[in-house]
Amino acid sequence: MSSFDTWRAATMCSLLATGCAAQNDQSAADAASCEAAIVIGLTANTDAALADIAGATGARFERGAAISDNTAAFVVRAQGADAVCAAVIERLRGDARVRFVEPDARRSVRQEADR
Amino acid sequence: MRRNTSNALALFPAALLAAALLMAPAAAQEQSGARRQPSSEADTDATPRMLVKLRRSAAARGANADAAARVAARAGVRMRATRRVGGDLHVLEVEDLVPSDEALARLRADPDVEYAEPDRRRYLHAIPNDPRYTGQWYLQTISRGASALDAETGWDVTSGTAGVVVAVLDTGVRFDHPDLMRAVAGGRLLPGYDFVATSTAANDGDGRDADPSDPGDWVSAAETSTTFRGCSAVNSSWHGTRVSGIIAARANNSEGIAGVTWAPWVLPVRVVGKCGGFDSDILAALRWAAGLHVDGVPDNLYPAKVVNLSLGSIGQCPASYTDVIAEVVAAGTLVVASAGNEGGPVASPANCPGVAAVAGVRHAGTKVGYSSLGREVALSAPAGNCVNTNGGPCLFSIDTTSNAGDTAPTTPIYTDQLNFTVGTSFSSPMVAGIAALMLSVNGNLKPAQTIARLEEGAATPFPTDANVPTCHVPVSRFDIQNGECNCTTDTCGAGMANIPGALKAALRPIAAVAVTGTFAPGSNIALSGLGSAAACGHAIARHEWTSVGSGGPGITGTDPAVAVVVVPAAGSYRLRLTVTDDAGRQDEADVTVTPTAASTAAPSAAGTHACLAPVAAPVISITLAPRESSVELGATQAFTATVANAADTGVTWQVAGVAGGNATVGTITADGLFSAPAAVPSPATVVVTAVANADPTVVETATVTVIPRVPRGQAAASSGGGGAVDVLLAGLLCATLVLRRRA
Repeated sequence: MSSFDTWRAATMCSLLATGCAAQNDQSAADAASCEAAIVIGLTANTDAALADIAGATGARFERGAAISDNTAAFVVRAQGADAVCAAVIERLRGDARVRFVEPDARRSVRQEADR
Repeated sequence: MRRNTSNALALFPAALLAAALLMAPAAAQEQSGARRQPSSEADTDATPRMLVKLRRSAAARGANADAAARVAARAGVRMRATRRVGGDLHVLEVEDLVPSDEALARLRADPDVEYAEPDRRRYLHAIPNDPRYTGQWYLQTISRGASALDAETGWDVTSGTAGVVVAVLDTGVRFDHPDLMRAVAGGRLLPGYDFVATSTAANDGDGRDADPSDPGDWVSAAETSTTFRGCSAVNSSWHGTRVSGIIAARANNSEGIAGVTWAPWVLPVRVVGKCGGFDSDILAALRWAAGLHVDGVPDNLYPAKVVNLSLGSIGQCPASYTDVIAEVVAAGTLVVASAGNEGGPVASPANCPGVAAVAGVRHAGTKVGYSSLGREVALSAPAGNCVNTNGGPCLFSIDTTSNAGDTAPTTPIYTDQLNFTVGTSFSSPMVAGIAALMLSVNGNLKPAQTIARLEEGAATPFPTDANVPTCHVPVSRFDIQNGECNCTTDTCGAGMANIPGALKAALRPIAAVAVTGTFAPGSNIALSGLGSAAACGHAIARHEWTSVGSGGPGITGTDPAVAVVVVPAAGSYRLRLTVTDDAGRQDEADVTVTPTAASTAAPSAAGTHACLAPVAAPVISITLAPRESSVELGATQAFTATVANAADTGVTWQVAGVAGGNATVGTITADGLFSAPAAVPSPATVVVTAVANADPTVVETATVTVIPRVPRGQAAASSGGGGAVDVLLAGLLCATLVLRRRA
């Protein structure tokens, strides 16, 4: 992780309601949590959007591996069923401070197993 | 008729060819591989023989041979002899070597001549000596299947140059396959990178790393209910190795198969692990492959001109792909992707803007049942079809490189009719390989131009079978056509990929138009075609500006490459630039001029790299640390040796030229831990050498000076063994003393 990423991650964590370490512990222990991998189209104000939504919903956004300066992978985690995470993502998608929010979808190779 | 040229080809070992390529002048880059013809078509135009067909009226006026002689005389061509080929076609053997284009022009201008052409030499098609080539029906002439690529004819033009890098974003690759191999070992594979960030999916113990080796992507039954819920239990696919073999299996090496290309490099970029690959990794890898920076990853030393994506899933093109592919295309990298195996709408990312989507056709040229289809498809290529659907060999498998391991890798193998390979995954690398050949002859082609010329060179029309329905554009994701159907240009692209056709299109020059001047009614502007460029080894011979349609302006100016025209007060007019190269190939660019602007789809400059400089193969290197050190008698110093660009990253150690050292100069372990001797040697500085296991000629040295024990409490000038700790302790002591004094 670059120093910039480290800084962003640290900034993100500090913006959230609770500390990163406590959240990680909680995530591991809490079976009633949801998580979703997403790709976000960033703007200069995306960090603020993430912080606002995190503050309002209790969700956490963890930055994943780097893609580009204006596109990043995140994992969103929240308390509750999958619908809770879906709602958080919808809220983020509706925020003008992000360009787009998409699932970090799996792609598969296009080899046919059958004839 | 097939001709066996293996004996002749055996005289051209691949290594010699590769070396020759690296040293060849630009003009010769149009060729590589097994060549038996001059360096360009233009060279053969100087032949003192011409084919002339007379018009019936001329032939009727007298003896046919006499008529031919009269025509030659009128054209000022001194003949040695004339011979009738058949009908009204004659071959003229020319007395002296006149410039062929002048003589031909005079002959063609004669009203008695229907056409006149150089009587060119033709050469045996390049047929590689790889023993499994016979099973590679898809590379051969259409006699093996209507959809076959006809590589043999194409390879007579080029089998590619080392100036082109094709990135394969896939499951990684098996570097140990003898028909692929690392570039440092004389193979086709550059070092690449592993972008799979999740260690469980990566299956190699970590996330992103510099090793794109494929460790296997099998998913066990147990994993389908735990780590990889939602995925099926499957054996390892060795998919990236299969794809890489189609593009670049080492050809003409008397082993295995031949790739579509014989010299371009493959950059293996691992994005798919167990249970697929995530968009976030694929997107980052796309950017990296094209030479764009990705945080946390060393920059790519070998930016790709072509990226192959034999992966995807159903759905619209995500915005993230639209973004990233636009960046990649702007960087000059063509993205080729498989249409999908659902028999439905084109999958993503093949359906993204700027991507050359490739659908799959059967050997007969009809759509193969599983291939997805639609208007996003650029062209089609063989995908493999078995015919024997109820058992028996798969008659039209795509034979390629693979591995025998069901889980972890074992023995390198090839797929064949019994262990078959089918899927649009394998159509895409055929087109990626063709694109690499095209860029080998015309490195100025931008991604959109390459796609347009791939389409231009595709074989048409699609064959039809009266017993199967016509394919239609899917109306929804649920509109599945998973049976054979007759392709249309709306469903399977412009045609069937064809190597000679694509190369013919690629060899055409690129017309470019630059506009200068002020747009005001009545003022002059200049439209310059000087930025046009010919293919590698060729030159632009002629520029011509013409008015298209009525109402065009007068074209003035003294340079035929530059049209000086008057800006209209109202309305618009259209002009056309036609550029012709020294082989008579042409390209056109239309320009529409209005009172306020001139618009054209042509670039303002075609580029200056028609011949791409060869990309040098990486070399094995060792980084040794520390380079200099000192160590007390009886103490130790740890050395680390990092070997780059080798499968075996191990080294052996020497001290003063002695493997493992000895009691006099000091000893060193296999792990690089140097132990100083009991007495200071003479000289006191000894050389520690790391020798690469992968190539014993690659060595790196460091020096270590053996010094007497330093009495305790002194800040010794040692940086070896415990020296660093000593310095730290001494530093702390000093700091403490200073503080005490200040207090």
